Amino acid sequence: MKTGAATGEPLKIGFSNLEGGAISLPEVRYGAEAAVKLINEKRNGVGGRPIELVPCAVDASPESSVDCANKFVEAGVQAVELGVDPSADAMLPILSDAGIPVFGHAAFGPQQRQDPNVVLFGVSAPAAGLGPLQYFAEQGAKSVVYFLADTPSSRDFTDSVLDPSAKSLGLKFKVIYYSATAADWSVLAATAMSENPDVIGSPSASEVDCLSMIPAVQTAGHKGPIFAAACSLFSTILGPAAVGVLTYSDLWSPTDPNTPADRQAEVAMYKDAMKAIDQSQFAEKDSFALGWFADTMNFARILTEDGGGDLSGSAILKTLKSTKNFEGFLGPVISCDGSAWKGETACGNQLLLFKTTESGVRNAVTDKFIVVSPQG
Amino acid sequence: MHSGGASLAVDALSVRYGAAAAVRGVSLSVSPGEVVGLLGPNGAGKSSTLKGIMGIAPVASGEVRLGTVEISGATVAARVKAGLGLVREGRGVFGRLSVAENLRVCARDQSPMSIDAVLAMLPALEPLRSRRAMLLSGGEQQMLSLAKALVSGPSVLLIDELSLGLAPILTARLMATVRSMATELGLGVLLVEQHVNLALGILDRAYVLRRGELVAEPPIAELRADPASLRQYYLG
Amino acid sequence: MNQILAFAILGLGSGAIAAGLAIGIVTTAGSTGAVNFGYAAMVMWAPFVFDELTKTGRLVLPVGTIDIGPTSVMTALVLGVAVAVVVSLATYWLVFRPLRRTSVLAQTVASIGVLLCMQAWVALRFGTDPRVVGNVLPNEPLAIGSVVVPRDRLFLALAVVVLGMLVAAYFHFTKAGLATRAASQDEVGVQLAGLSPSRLNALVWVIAGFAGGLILILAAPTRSLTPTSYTLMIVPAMAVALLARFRSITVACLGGLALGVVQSLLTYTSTQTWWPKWAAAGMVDAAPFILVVVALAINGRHLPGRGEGASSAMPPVSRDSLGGRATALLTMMFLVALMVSGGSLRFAVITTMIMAIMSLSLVVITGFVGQISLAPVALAGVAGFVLSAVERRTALRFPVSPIVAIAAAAAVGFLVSLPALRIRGTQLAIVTLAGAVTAEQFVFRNPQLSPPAGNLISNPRLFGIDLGIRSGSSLARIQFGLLVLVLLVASLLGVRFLIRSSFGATLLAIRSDERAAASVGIHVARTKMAAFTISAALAGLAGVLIGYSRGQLSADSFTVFAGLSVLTFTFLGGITSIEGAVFAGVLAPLGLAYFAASRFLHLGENYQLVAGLALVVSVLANPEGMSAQNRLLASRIKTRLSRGTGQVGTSDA
Repeated sequence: MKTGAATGEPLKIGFSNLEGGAISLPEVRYGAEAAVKLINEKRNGVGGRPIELVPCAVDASPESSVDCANKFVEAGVQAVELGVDPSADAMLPILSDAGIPVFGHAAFGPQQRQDPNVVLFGVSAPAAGLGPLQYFAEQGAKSVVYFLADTPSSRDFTDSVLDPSAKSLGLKFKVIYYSATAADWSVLAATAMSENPDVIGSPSASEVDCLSMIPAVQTAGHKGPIFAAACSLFSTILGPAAVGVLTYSDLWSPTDPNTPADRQAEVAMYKDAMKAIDQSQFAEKDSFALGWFADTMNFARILTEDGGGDLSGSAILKTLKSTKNFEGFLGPVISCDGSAWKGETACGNQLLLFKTTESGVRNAVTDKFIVVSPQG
Repeated sequence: MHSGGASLAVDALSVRYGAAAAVRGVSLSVSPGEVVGLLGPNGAGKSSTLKGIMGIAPVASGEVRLGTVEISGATVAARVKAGLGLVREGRGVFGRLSVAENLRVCARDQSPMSIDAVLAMLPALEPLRSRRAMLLSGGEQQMLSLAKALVSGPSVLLIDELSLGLAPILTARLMATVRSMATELGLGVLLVEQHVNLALGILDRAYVLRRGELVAEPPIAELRADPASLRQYYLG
Repeated sequence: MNQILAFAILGLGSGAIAAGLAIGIVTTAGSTGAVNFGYAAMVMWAPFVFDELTKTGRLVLPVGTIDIGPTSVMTALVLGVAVAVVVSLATYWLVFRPLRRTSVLAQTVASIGVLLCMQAWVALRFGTDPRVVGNVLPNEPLAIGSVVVPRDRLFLALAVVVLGMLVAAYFHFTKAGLATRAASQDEVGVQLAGLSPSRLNALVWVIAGFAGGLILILAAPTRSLTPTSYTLMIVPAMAVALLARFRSITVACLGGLALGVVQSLLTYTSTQTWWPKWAAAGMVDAAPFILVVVALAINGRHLPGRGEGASSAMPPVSRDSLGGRATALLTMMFLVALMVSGGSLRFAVITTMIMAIMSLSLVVITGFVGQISLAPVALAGVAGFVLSAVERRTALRFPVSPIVAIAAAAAVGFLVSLPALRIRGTQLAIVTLAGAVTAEQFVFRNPQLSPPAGNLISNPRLFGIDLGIRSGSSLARIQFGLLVLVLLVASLLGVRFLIRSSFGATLLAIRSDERAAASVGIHVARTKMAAFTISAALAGLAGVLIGYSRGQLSADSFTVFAGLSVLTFTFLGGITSIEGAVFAGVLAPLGLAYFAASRFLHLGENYQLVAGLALVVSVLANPEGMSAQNRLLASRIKTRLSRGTGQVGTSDA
């Protein structure tokens, strides 16, 4: 890999992210920016061409996403990286018509899980739901209850993936759906408890929902493991109640002492890069910044390793989708050719489960990624 | 601040609705214990005069004094506190509230008239204390309207068309009540009334309004002797 | 049995919140006639101030911060409630009092501005990270059979009941309370009693701030505290307030508690295997409104609430709007705009035209029939989703598939008109809101109707010509733009024709006085149903065009708040005239104004606050919306011009 500063014609990457409104997550962009700075200054960009991030703030409405997509097309970006954009699905028709490929970490909407113009570096949604079930079954659990947001895709997901898989794993399994806006978690927790489960949790709850779910479930008398999706806020806010709660991630954690020695160099690279853009506070704890740092690094590396020649939209898409057995940054081996999970645009089918300790730090419970395989 | 037994003095009052002048430079007075009539044909501006005095119609110019207190620019509430009261045209009662509640809203601590005292003067209302005002008959509502104005303890009472929609017998009874109130309580009363003959019996004085202006102050004896003589003032 | 009792008690938690907020809504609506959609956002200052004080000892006010140091729960509670009271009073004085004689619609739109403003302000002062509030009421677990119930739910219910009793007592047994009730029907009468209606109403807003603030603090430990989720609590509270007909504190209190219990029981039963699958999705969200619609249907006719009486009628309607010349001018303007612009600017022009059609739908109902409806956006959504479903499941395509979709929307609009025959004003607004929520839950988010892969819509083609909006990097093709322009002009002309016909005269007669209209033989019910259906068809057309312009649809474009937002910009554009719909289109999301703001203004995190303030200020400055102002301006210009040329101007627009 060539090192040094890149000086060629910039490679424009659009970046849509939830910022400036009632919920604002600038750290997602900082992660990407830190990676871009590193790539441009130390890795000779992408085949000599520096990356130029074109950010656009969304507010979770489909309209703001459409507006960003239009802006991206007019700015002539070659690809779009999805930050946290709950309505990113609205962008897809516009970007695919314009031949602009889309990449990101995890799906925030049903369409992006199937659109052929999209590549997601993280673990697929079905795997994120199923993986923990596999682990719980292996650990001897007999009954699991999941909370899922009440959406058509959740229901479909349950019917087509979770229910049959739980059956083959020999688990008694139930899904309780909750309203995204009007959930009463004490009622949901009591409903879950009426099933007498060994494990209660959610593979997709938001930070706000995790914060309500964990105490509610504990108050309702649950003594077993609680699975809190990929949430991280609760560990700082809930104090002692957070101890023992399980979460998942598709990346090693920079704050976890259990992170293998051979990945520590990546941890150091991430921390240094965040420091270089004056945002080290996000690198000192579990934050979204890591996911997007990793995605951007992966993106640049995949294109560079391919030779970095033709960087038109269709070429980028082709290159991304031909990625096979690629070791992601602080992540598992991923393949973006559709083999990770049939019918999904995600590249990953491996994840890690973390247990929250007294100090708030999370430790991985296995020393390797858990490979999730479709059941039944 | 209540000016007990005070006179009402109105000086060159003009009331204007937009560009239209309803009342033009009207001056009048009412002394304690007097029942004064404000007469005139339809549209003469009688109601507007009362409303202007009370402060619920737009006054273009003029002064209003209650005793020594100038109330020209005061808010309606302030005028009520100074001792002015209005019985509105069309029975302004609070429909959803009961009779007792209606009176309770209008009662004031400084008022010399308690709710019981007022009900003693209008005994027909006593058995109706807990009935909702909108369920009362026309006459009962008119009585309630009068009672409401009384219970706030005015020294001068403005009454707008007491007879509206009421049978003559009822009106006569109410008029008699007004007369006795004025005499017993030393109340000054300014009475607007279209049906002159019903009012003539209780009036001490009368003003005649025509097209917004004061055109005459005919002696009551003359009017009582020949009520038809009023017509000349109406037609001018 | 124990299960049911336990879940019922659990449900008292969210029930108490709905009840407490409903008490506040009924209190202000009953006396000042204002239905304040921003009420929850307004009183949520209380739990935020409380939480910050108990955690960091800092008293964070709307403006300024005071470091108090360690604070007891009681002190923090008192201070939190005090802030809510002050905010409530200030909102009354600055916004609702100046608007008290304007239309219910103006007040509704202003309250939406208050909602946006307050939510953004709280987020700016306290940050957006969710908070877990410490316990206020005793919280030890109570075991009911096998279920563990936190004790505070019972205390919350008790608190709300006591609060309700105190507030009801105020209105029934105190002089001030009685006078306030009297003032809502007869302001002058209360003045003549020597009282100040302003002061009485101010007191009512103080009570509302107190009630809402107190309940939210007591209930905050049961729900993660975020600006967005607490703002949204207004939705079930509105349903309960409607059930109470914006008048009865008792019904608001008990209804709210009952709602919480019902929702809790529904959550439990919908997970049972015997529960029907089609009814499993969205029951909890839709429950409040189903309850409301059922109750209203049973209650039948009853006296209209305050909103119809004392506050003024809607802004005046002009039957002469948009004459032939003006329409031609408008068409030329849009044609030129389409040809001259490109890319996202043309996309904005096209969206402006589509949203003008959407607003036209609202103009027909709200402007001409005089009833506030929040249904148009939901109906547009129904059409869009039906279009996607039809294209997915059948071979039907443009132009047949959109016609089917529009017919579906019209049919739903017709159904919505049935409860509207007996209800008016704010109550109808909430019923249409109910319909919109139900549509959102049962239609848009229903897995049987909405495929997991999303709702895709393919480009329209006619006789082999691609009329689609996009092709490659071309964001907004002129072919689609022309299609939309033709449909817009047809809609404008159609509505104008309707308004100038005898049907239009009938509508306006009904709008001024239903009873009088009926007494001269006008078939009120039939006319209203026709108007609702026409309005629904227009909304359906807009929905279908939105679908084509986006290529896909998500439920988030058709939420309750999207509906409120359409109402808002239609009002601002001028809801009683046809040209107002065009102004409204300019203001709509992704329209020209949005485009300009997005490209040239960089307000960042202050955007929502500025938007909310701007909305409130616009309504205060222009309680009848902009097109009334514009018409005034236009006529003044015309007069001046004709004076200048010495000619007598013809009366046109």
